[in-house]
Order: sequence, then structure tokens, then C-alpha cells
Amino acid sequence: MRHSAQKSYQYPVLRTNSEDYINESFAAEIDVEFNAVSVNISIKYILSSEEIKREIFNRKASYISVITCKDTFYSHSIRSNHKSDSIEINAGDLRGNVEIQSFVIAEKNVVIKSQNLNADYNMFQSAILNESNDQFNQFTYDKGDMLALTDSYLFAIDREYFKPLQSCIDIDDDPELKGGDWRIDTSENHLKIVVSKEMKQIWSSLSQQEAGKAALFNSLYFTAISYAIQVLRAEPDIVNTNKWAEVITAKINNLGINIEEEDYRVTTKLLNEPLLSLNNITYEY
Amino acid sequence: MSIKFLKQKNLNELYSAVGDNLERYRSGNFDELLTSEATHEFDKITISHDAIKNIKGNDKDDANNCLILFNGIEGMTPYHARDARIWVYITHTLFLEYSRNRWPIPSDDKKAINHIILHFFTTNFRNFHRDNAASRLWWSAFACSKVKTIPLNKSLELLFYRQDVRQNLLDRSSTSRIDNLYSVFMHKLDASFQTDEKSLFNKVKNHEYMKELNFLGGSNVLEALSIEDSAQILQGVDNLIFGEDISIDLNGLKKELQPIDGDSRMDDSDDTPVSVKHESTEDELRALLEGLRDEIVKVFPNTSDDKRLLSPQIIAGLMYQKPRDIEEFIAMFPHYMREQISGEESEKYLEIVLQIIDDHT
Repeated sequence: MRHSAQKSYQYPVLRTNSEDYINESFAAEIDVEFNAVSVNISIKYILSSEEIKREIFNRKASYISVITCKDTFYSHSIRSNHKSDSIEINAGDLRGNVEIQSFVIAEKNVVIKSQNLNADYNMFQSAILNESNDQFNQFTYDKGDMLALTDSYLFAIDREYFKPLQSCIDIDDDPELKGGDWRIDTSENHLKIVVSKEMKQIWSSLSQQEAGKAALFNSLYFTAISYAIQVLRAEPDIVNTNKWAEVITAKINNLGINIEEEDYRVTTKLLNEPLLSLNNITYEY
Repeated sequence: MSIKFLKQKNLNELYSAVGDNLERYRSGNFDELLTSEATHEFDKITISHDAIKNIKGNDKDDANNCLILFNGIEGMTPYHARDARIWVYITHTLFLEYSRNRWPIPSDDKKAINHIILHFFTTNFRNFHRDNAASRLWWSAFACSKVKTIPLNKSLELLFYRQDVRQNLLDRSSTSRIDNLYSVFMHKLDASFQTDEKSLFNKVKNHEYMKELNFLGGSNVLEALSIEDSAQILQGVDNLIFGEDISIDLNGLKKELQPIDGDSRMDDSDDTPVSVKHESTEDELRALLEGLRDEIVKVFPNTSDDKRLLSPQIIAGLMYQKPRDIEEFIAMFPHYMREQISGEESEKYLEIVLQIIDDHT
């Protein structure tokens, strides 16, 4: 993501977690529907600043959304002066992670006067303009400058992202491990659960039956995925090199999960509430 | 002929058995393993086996081979071209001879396994565009085909004139995704190509140019720029890097060419030679890094093996990712790998390592 709340711009940009504008917000509600032929994206812009809305209405600024898929060299922008827009993309043009980010861009030089513009910018420009305004702060934007931006919206398209998560997890044995000792290896393409020979046999036998699978989901797999999420959070770049990280990230984005939630909460959602599968186990007392 | 692709199970088996199949990769074939039971057929994509037979040679032939492959496959979409099962099947069958000639397999078995995984398989998105012997040709042609105002054979010639330019444009920047900006840039490459100096192909200048462009992308929404605005932005970069504008005809940028047909294919009789700077081979780069590793061991004899800047794992990573500056190194190597490296070794030698890679890729 090239544009973000953390970035410093040379001018005030309305965005989340920034104090360039006080008590104002800009967001985009995005709806994505796809089938084998096309990907349909609907975007609804939610902008609170009346001053910026006025400039959009006057055609001095526009809403722009940029859709990017770096895996397929795809990038396209749509421009609108209305508060909603949509685009249909050929499904064959996208694969992997797709990012949508929306902006308000100045189409001409434009002055934004607002009580909610941070006063720091007013002081800066007043010094240049040699004038002051007690009630309204103001800033002059040049053509092409960004007035506002949203957080990125991510979704993913790949047949692998719709497979069960365990398709990117391998079970392997290590003769040096004894009994119930085990470890997780995140360094390879697939997430690897390494167990003792004895455990591997238990795993094989459990995998054959629904009750056994439920037990595995709530033990080995749950722990392994929770650990993988920790690793992913600590090393986000791993998504570029390891398939398991790519698949987990895509599922997190597609399911709308917040990766900043606790590991066990994220894992519960990724595995579709695995505790419920314990219902498959028949207890013998 | 309908395209074939591997069943996922067979692809996984092939991947797990690279070490067992070394002799097949070196001089044999996969006919026994890749039977009809191991593959699916997809009739929406067709591949001309006759055309593919003309793909041969080394890096000097990359541009020509890109064109042959791109024109030889019909119906391929970017979505399908990101499917490992297609390319792994092609590299192990139709492209087997070409792949092992273009990317000679090292005699050392351990190196050979890594090398085969890099050029015969696809493990991440960079592999598709950069490393897999077949898919890299298709993706390079696809990227060039996005410039509708330059004939495909010409833009491929420009792209492969210097491997540095290809890498900077396709592997290290977002420019090739942004249609208007990319078209203007390719026209500038074309204009520069016509001059004696070919200044935009200069390794250092091109690197600076693309860095400046990436920097501008941090504060501008480049994707939203018109052709005229893109030209204006690039004119600013021209002046910054070269002190003058690389002049192009903006009207020419607005006239789309007709789709490529058979007549525009390059073939052996094409009298426009594609001149390519020879890259250092993978083996040469590895030898340089291993030479430096030995030097570092002499300077820092007490560093434990697992903390070496040029440990076998780090060298494998460097050979695979080829970072050319600190920023790329940090981006490509996860924190857990970097934190293990000896501080004194990296302080003294990391920049030298990256410089070696920059000079030899």
C-alpha cells in the first residue's frame, strides 16, 4: 500500500488516524461479487466534509478509486463526481490479492476553507498569503493533489483460497522427536507440523474418521494456525514468499477478519468455529 | 491443440521428488511420470506445438522466444497464466530441452535442486514473472502487449535490450501496471534507443530513474493520470536525471496499433537483431558470494556458523531474491533471518554483498 495514514504529505489529507482534519472522515463501502466471467465492484463513498463535497459537486475535485492486482499487472482507476460508482472487470484479468483504494483528487487548483482543517496548516499558509482568518482555516491544493484517501480494501481471487485451510498444511515426522513432542515449521511453502513417528500414526488413524478430524482441528491445526498468525503478524513480508502465508492472508481478507484481533479469535473464524465439530465425538463413559 | 496441465496431486509429487529425479532433469524426460492420468486438458486454451518447437537458444533469444510463446498460445488470460499447474507441465514436457539449455543445471546436486525449483516450478508470484523458464517469457510479452502503440516485437526488443531495464520495470516497480504512465515510459525507452547514447538504458541512470518514479508514486495517484499528465510527470524525471527532456510524440501515443497478427512475429529471418547485454551467470554470482564468504571468515573467525552473513541459507536467499540495496534486503528477508546475522559482519560487508549483486544481475 503506497498511500496510508502513517505517511506524511506536504498538504492536509483527510484520512483515518490523522489530525489533518478534525472530526471529519472519508471511507468507501465496497461490495465485490464475482463469478467465472466477471468481477463486479460497487463503491459507495462516505465523506463527511461539506467543503470537499462542494468542490466535488463543482467538478473541481473527483472521487477516484484505484483497483490493483500486482500478480497480473492489472491496474485501473475509475473517476466520479457522484457518491457511488461501479466497475465490471473481466475475471480473467485478476488473480491473487486485489487492492482497492479510494481518493478525492483536485481536478483544478482549489481552496478548501473549513473550520475543521487543522489550524497548523492555516498558520503555515497565512504566513505565505499574508492574511489571516479567525473563523475558517484554509489550504490551497494544486491540480492532482490528494484531498482525502481511504484505507485499502483487500480481497483475493484464487482457486486455492477457497480450499480448506488444511490444504496448505503438511504433517511430517521427525525420528528425533519422541512421544507427544512436536514443532511447527513456517519456513517452507506449506505450513509444516512436525511430530514424532508415534504421533504421525495417531494422526493417520484420526484423519480417517470425522470424530478424529474434529479432535485434530481443535488441537494440532488450531495451535499451528494460531502460531502461523503470530508469525504472519510479526513478518508481514512472508506473504510474498510462502504459500501458507498467502492463503491465510487471502482468507483473512475475504472473510473480513481483523488480523489485529487475538490469535485464537482469528483462528476460530478461519477454521469456521471448529469447537462445533466436537459434536461429532461420541463419548463413552 | 488444447493445453494440458498437471493435476495438483501430481504437481506436489513432482515437487517433492526433485532430488530423486535429477537425472531426468539433466538428460532424461518425464514421459513415464506425466502420463494422461497425471494431467487435465483445457480446451479454452490452445497451444501450437509447431510454434513452440522454434523456442531455443539463450538470453540473446529471450525477446524472440517471448513473442513465439505469446503468439503460440491462444486464450490464455492473466488468471490462467498464474496457474502453476500449466507452467510446470510445460517446463517438464514441451520446454524440457529448452529449459535445461537456457538455465544449465549445476553439477552439484544441492545447487541443482534449488536451481530446478527456481526454473521448472513456480512457488510465488515473482517466480511466474522472473524465473520459471516458460512463464517468464509469456509474462514479459504480456506486459509489453499492454503498450498498444508500439508493435509487440519492438517493445520486447526494448525490454530485453538490457536485462537491468527489464528487471527494474517488471520486477521492481509498479510502473508496468499503470497503463498510461507505462506507455509514455516505453515511448521514452524507444526514443532513447534511437540515440547513440541510449541513456535510459544506462544501468545506473535507469535505476535512478525508476527510483524517482517510485518516489513520485508515493505522493501522487499515478494510476489516475492521463497520457498528457503522465508525460508531464516523466518530463520532470527526465530533467532531474538527465538534465533534459527525452522528447516523444504524444500524438503517436494516442494511435492504437492493430492487434498483433502472424506477420509481425519475429522469426529466424527477421533482420533486426536483438542485442542483449549478457548477464553474469548464476554460477558466477554464487562464486563471487562464496569467495566473499571465505574472506569474511578470515576477518571474523569467531562468528558462529549460524550467524554468518553469508551462511548457506542467506546465500540461497540472495541468489533467489537478488536484493540490490538495503531497502530491498529488508523487504525480502524476514526479520527472523536478519536478526540472526552477526552485527559486525553485516555492518562491514552487507553493502558490499548488495553491490556485488547489483553489479552482476
